[in-house]
Amino acid sequence: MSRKKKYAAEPDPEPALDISSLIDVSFLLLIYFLVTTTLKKKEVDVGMRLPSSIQQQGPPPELPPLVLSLEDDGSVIANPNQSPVDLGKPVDNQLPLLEERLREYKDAADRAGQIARITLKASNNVEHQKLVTVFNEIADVGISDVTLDGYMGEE
Amino acid sequence: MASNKLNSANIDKLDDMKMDMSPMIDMVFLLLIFFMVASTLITDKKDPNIEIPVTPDGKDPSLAGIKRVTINVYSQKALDSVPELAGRTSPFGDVDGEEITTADITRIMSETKAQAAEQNRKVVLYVRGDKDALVLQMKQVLQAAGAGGVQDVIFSGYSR
Repeated sequence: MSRKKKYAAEPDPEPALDISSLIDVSFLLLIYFLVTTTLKKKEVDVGMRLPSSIQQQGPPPELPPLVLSLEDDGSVIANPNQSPVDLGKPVDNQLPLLEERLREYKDAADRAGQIARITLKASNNVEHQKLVTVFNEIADVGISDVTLDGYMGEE
Repeated sequence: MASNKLNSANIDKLDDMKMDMSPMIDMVFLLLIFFMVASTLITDKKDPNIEIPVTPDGKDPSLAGIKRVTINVYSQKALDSVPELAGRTSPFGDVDGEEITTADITRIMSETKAQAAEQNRKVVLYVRGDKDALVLQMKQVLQAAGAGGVQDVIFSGYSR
């Protein structure tokens, strides 16, 4: 009896899953992503269709395009040749008065079943930021047909 | 005797003490999944020498059915201060940042348009202009792209 007892198998320990390698791999991946990830500002789109370089085909539209003028100081003037309306300068890269004017024009064009068109006369010496601010407002109201007028440079 | 028993019982408890690692593993997995989901592969080269303008109402880029042709427009400040742009006479660069002229832009546009037509894709000019670049330069790019048969334009911007 005593001999049997001596060589009796020990009871199995409680089975456990060794997850240390899993944690190792997880940390490795985590550190990899922490190190390689860079917080980058996301670029967004301001889409336009600019028919300035091609001649317009077909009959002219019934609704005249809204003419805007972008001045050197960044201020925007609506209808500069007829009854100019100063729509102010950009504040925090936004032009609220321009947006309001564009919405009125877009609504009028939609009611008439016409395509809203913008003719933008931008000074050649204006910074791109100011031009994009105007495009931003135009795109925001849903107008995509823009003629960029006033090209005076040489190829 | 009673205190001896108590001591031995406490020692046994200390021996059995283990740190519960499950909350830590939970957090590790949570962070891991966050970074895996939040990371995006950069497919287009973005020249860091261009300070993109701010467009608060810009839309998220959509690449469905279109072929973007990236043209970089550098500011005079960048041309003067960035060593790798030194000596350039043209403020325009292709997607790799190589110097190009308006004639090159026209050629690139017409070539890309011919390739995209075979794939039924529309070519769009993607202007990454520096916020301090001049409107004159934008007009030159647009005119050159128009000469190459591309009138659809997307201006790049930061939403904030």
